[in-house]
Amino acid sequence: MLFQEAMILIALKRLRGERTDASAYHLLSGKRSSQTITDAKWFQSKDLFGALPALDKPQFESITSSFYQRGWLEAGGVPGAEASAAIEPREKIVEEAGFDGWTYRDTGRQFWRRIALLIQTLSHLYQQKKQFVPIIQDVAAQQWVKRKLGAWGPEKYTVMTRLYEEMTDCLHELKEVQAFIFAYRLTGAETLGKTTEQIARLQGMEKAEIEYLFQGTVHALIKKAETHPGTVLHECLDAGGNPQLTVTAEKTLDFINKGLSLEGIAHARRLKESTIEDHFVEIAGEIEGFSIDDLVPPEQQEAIRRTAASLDTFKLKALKEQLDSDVTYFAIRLALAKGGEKGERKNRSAE
Amino acid sequence: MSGKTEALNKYFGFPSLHEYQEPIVDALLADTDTLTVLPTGSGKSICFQLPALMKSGLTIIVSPLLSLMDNQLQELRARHIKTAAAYNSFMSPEEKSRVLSRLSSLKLLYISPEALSLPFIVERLKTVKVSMMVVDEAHCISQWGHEFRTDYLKIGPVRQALGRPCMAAFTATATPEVQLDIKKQLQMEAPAEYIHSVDRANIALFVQRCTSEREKKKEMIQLVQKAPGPGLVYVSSRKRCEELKALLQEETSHRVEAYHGGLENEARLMIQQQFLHGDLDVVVCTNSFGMGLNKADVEFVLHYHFPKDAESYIQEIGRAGRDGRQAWAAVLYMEEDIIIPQMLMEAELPPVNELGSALETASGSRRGEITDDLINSMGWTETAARFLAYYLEKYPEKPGAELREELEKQVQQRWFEKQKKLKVMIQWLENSEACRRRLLLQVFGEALRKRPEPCCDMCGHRLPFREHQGAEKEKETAPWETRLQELFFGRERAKHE
Repeated sequence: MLFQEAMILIALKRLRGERTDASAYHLLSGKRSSQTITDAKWFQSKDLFGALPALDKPQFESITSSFYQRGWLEAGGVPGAEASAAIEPREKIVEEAGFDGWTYRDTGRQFWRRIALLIQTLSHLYQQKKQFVPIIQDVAAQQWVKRKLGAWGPEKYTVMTRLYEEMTDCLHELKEVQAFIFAYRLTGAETLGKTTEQIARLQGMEKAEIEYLFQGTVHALIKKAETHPGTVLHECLDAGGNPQLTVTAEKTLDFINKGLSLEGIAHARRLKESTIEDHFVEIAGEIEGFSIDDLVPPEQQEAIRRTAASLDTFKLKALKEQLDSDVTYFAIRLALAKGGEKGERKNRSAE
Repeated sequence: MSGKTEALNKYFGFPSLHEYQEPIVDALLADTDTLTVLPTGSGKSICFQLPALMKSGLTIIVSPLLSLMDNQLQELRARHIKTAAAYNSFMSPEEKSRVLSRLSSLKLLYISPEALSLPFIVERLKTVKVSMMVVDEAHCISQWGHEFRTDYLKIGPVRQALGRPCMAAFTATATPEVQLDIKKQLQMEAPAEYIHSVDRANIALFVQRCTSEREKKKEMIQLVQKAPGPGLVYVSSRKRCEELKALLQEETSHRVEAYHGGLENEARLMIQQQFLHGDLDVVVCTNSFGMGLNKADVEFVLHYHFPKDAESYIQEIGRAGRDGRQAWAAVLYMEEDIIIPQMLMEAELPPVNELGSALETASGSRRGEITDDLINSMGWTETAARFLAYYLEKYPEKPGAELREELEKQVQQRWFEKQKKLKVMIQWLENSEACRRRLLLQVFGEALRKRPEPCCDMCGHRLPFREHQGAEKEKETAPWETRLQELFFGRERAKHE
């Protein structure tokens, strides 16, 4: 089975038939919409968010329809027994790859550019080669490296050795193939980096899977760096992590902070109220200090989370039917967005 | 030691100039307008960089391609020449204003023709002493040329506005007609002219006629397999690029990659670097490859699809044999392929039946955004959009109907020119009697002075394949730990540990 086919099945399995098939597509392609971001969170699928950036809708549809025909997908969009068995090895890979597109898609890009350019530059300096074409053309990354080199001064070779040791340690903790991919993507003074496609050929694997594992490695390095201040890898992180909001939700947040009501914001931004509701759900899930108590009374929030836990579902319709009639869909979504995070933390500590 | 030699030493670390560079540098130092036709890869840029560094004041270098600008800047920076900068639309507002604020301390400013035509830029340039203007790829100014760019037509007026500084025009390929046009448009009355032959005696020329796609593929595989490379295979589209790359990977023992605009930036750079450093034998590419890439030891340029005119052809095969060693160029020609340049040419011009709605779109556009609006809402190519934008600016007062008529005339005229050039190319390909080199030179108004050997298929010569060097190709299965060590510390140290 192709990597992208397996990923589609995994996504649909995670969504448990509680969302449309298109939700799986949006999740895998990494659509920055309130609904998709909320899905990634509720269904604990940050490791699928943006996992197949090159996937397009027609491709997705032709793959799912062939799965329905083969009976690999049952009505309601859930993988059958045969399909579930077939994707098991891939599920394990996804679990262990460290990929978290939801949190690290943008930081990951920046982190990689900095690391790649830093290593290329240091390796040239160390081997006394002054002229080279930077493999990263991004101006921001180039300026960052320049600043860092200036700040380190004569210490830069010590920093380089430390970076080498830190990277060796981190890569040792990962799967062999992930370490291989990462090391071969990098460019040094004597060794030129390989493209994803070239590495895929070397490993006899698919390009899409290599790319996923590569991003996973980048994300794993960031995670490590975040918890280890004082390391060189930590210095490669951006100072100050902003919560990941869509641009439009960010605007809505500005209005909220100015004291406008939901209706007021919809009016001011000339958007539908339902759109602003989506933003509220996204903000509630993203920003820890954002209180929804004015929108949903605390006891109602409790009731919603309890019901969700006892029914073991995020299906809005099922929840709505179980709850008092005055509980709106909006309230359910808000409460789950706020609670989803806690649920996940519990899950993690239980591991 | 003359001031020139001293400066050459100081800035570039060279002891002397080439014989053909010397008079150009002298002319520019004496503020004489010059027109230079010099094959690419033969040290053109130093001809204006050196005088620019020696003169007082600023030299403006108009360059149409971002990659060319970048390359030259990087080379200058590597030589620690810090008085050079670029200005183009890909820079951030902060970067742009930083460049403008240090104009008076700059010696060389690389600028795109679009940027140079902005009124506020011209105003800023008026505040400093501009000692020289250099136009790179000057053939773009001529509508008889193969890469006509309307933005180039504004260079002449800007020169006037800046008090007519000394003008230097450079191109690698220009027919006599185009040379005349360059002089006229850049307002050079009696420039010193340095016209070098477009002939590259060490590149043997071949055309192989094929009757089917299958035959072409078979021929391509055979040629590539026999040649040790490095080599380039030119194709018309990204899709074909990928397809033929896969085929060559499968059917030959070479290390082959594809290069086209659809690749990610990082991958594109990597492939370029790998090719440059000999990690690859063959690159299958669209014509976006090779611009500013200076690889001396290219053995062959193989055209799976032929280009739209002789000028492009000369430019593309010119990437072979720059080190002076014997090289070859071959075209796999199939009659049906003519549709490809036809379609390309069509896309480069505004479609006549869409002129009406395009004018409507443009009338609602803000100044300076017409090009983008046309690209986005009409789906035109950038070249087509710029074409229309230029004439809109040129005739701001013309009423709609008249303007449309004028535009139609201009489009027809351009189309006619392009067709004429394509026809010349086809005739050259279909020629089955005369020496190919002589015919190709004829297009550029040149006579063949000395026939090299090997010359071409018509002269009865065979493809001069180089010897395969038995050197083993790097096996890339080193464990990642070794690789990482090599990356940081180099192979020597990695070996010892």
